[in-house]
Amino acid sequence: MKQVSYLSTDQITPKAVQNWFEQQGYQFVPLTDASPQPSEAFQKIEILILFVPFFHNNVYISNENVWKSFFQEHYPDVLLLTAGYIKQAHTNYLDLLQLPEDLPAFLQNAKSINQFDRFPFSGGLDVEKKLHKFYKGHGDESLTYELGKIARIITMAVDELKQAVPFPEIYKDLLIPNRIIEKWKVLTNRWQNYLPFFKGLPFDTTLQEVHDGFSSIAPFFEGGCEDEHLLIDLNCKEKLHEIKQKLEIIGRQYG
Amino acid sequence: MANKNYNILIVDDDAEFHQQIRYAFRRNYVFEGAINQEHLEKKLKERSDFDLILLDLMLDDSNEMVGLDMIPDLASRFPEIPIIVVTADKKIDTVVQAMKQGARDFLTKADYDFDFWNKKFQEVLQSQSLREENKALRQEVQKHRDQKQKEFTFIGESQKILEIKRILRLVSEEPDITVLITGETGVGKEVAARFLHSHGARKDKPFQAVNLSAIQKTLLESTLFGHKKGAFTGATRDMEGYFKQANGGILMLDEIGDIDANIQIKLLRFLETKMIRPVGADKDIQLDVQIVAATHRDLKDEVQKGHFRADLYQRLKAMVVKIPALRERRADIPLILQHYYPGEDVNEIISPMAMDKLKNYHWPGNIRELKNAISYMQLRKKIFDRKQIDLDCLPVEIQEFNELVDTFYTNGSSAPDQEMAPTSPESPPPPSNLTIEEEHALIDLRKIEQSLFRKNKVKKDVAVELGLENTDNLRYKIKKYFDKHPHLFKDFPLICESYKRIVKLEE
Repeated sequence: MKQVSYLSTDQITPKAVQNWFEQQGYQFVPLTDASPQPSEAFQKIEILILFVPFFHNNVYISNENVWKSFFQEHYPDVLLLTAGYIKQAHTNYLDLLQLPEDLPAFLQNAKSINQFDRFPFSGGLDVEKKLHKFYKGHGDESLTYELGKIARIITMAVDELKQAVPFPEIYKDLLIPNRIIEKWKVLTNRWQNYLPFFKGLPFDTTLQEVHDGFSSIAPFFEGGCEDEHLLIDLNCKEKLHEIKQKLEIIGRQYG
Repeated sequence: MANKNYNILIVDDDAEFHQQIRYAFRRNYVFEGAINQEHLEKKLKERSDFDLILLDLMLDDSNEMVGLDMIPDLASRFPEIPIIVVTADKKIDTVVQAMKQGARDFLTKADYDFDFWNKKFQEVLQSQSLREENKALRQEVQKHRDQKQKEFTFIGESQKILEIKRILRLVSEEPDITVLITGETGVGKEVAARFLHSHGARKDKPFQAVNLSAIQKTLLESTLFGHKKGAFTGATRDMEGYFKQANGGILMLDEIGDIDANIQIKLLRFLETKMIRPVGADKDIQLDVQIVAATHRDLKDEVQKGHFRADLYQRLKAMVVKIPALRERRADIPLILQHYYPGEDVNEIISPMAMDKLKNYHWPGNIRELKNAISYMQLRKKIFDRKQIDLDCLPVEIQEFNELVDTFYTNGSSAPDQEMAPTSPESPPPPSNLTIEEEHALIDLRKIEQSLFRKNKVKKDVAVELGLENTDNLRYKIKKYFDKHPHLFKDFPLICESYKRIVKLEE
């Protein structure tokens, strides 16, 4: 029996159509690793259905085109479909309120991932726009811009320590004038705000690592940036650098 | 390595970024800042000698890269100030665009790293310094060329020189003809060769002049034709010779009458084939060099004596230009003198008497001797604190030279002033036990005495002739000498008579 995999944030909808898939002669299985890096799980997939929009933390999210980018980059042979309750006319969209009579014929008619540009908008919050703001911009919404500032200031602070400049002086002459604590708050607030929208995306694991990275250095900032030992012992400079790099890798493809 | 003397202008709307950069690089550079375009203009109006501009591309919240548009204008108005773009955006397109617009380099704010940034600053600053150095060197070279050109200006309006210039102009139209310039030493054979070069088809190509008699015989071949590494002991690398260096242009071989038979053969071969073979090389090199040879010797005579190859002489004498000795064109002497006193009137600088002496002298060393005489006269003028170069300032051999005066007359030139043959009694030679001060005083007093005689004791005229501003200065000079050396005055009756109130000799 052929297999159709699916990704969904709710369990009800997939269950509702499970029988139909089986009647059509397809095994209908959830993709268990829902936040994968390119992995073995994906290598086995032939057909994947994304239930759109995603529903997470009481918000509907449209992330199908992010997934499309992911598959296009790593697994271009997967037949990628979306499924939902809104009306859409697309060869790769499965209207759950009007299921096709002949699924094999529908799949036959669907386009391979390189044959179409984008999925039509599924009505949720546009994650691509969020990602764009997360990475780009000079204004109030960019997380990486804020992260870059903090990383720069912390790098300068550590450089100064290496030059044997007493930490109190660095604190007074660099950290305070550059409002480092405030910047950290802004950064972490933005992070908290963005994170829910990025759930269920292909780079979910990386985002979790970034989150852990922020948490590991938070004590220095939350302690008012006054403790030289925390700055060094928590490897703040290096951690921030790592976080930047991880986010840059995601940003290069999706940002 | 960094230099605190470098002034860097940061242009960024983020005041904190200014503070951070100033802080991080405070030991290395001096910073000033501008937060927007208007502020930047103000800063550049105040001073335009910044060594570097760090320019953010986004200078407001519009998300427009206004900085990008500013680069071409800044680069054209201040080409000597390099621009490094420092921005949050690190898209390749933006980088390429910024560089195309004229930015020298690009840094992304998120990738701050002290060493990397400092290296970039240094690279740009040093490349700019190199550019400026190159520019200064180019200017220096140009200045040197101009100076050289000035040194080698073929001065002369005498009939003989005008004719030579005409011939050289005609010869310069034949870029392959070999020219032999003859004339006494110091007549300006190289000047004539350069004149030929500057008027001909090869004027934009090299001009090399080499004095063959000044090069050791053992080194002459490799100096002229070059050598390969290992050709002889001490040949540690390949070296181009004068021929190669002059390729495309003119090679002037001065004192060609002094070269030995071996070099004569090689030179003859070049004149016939236009090929040379560097010492130690196994292949010939084809060159395009026009040869201008020069000598003070009579080559015909040298051929007869067996010192110079007849076939080479035949080749060289395709076009012979003889430069006359300076004494054969005395009318050019004031012109040549004027050349060495640019912006001044030589007739004011040199007294008429001295000028006549200079014109009458036979100048065995020709223009080279005249140039040396000019330096000497300048120095003497300073030593004697004279307004003009007068007889005392002339080199002794010129002062004492009278032989050619008659010749000069017979040549139909203007007669010298009567001062050349003063009718006043010649002053006695200075006693041998005089001090230097006394000797100087004597020279001056003698001159005043002679002038008083010539000018019929009209003090005003004497002062003018001696280059003094007025008669007060003349009186002061006499008083000064009398106060110090009254014993010297007994030999100067006209001074004593004209300045009775000052000069009161004891009976």
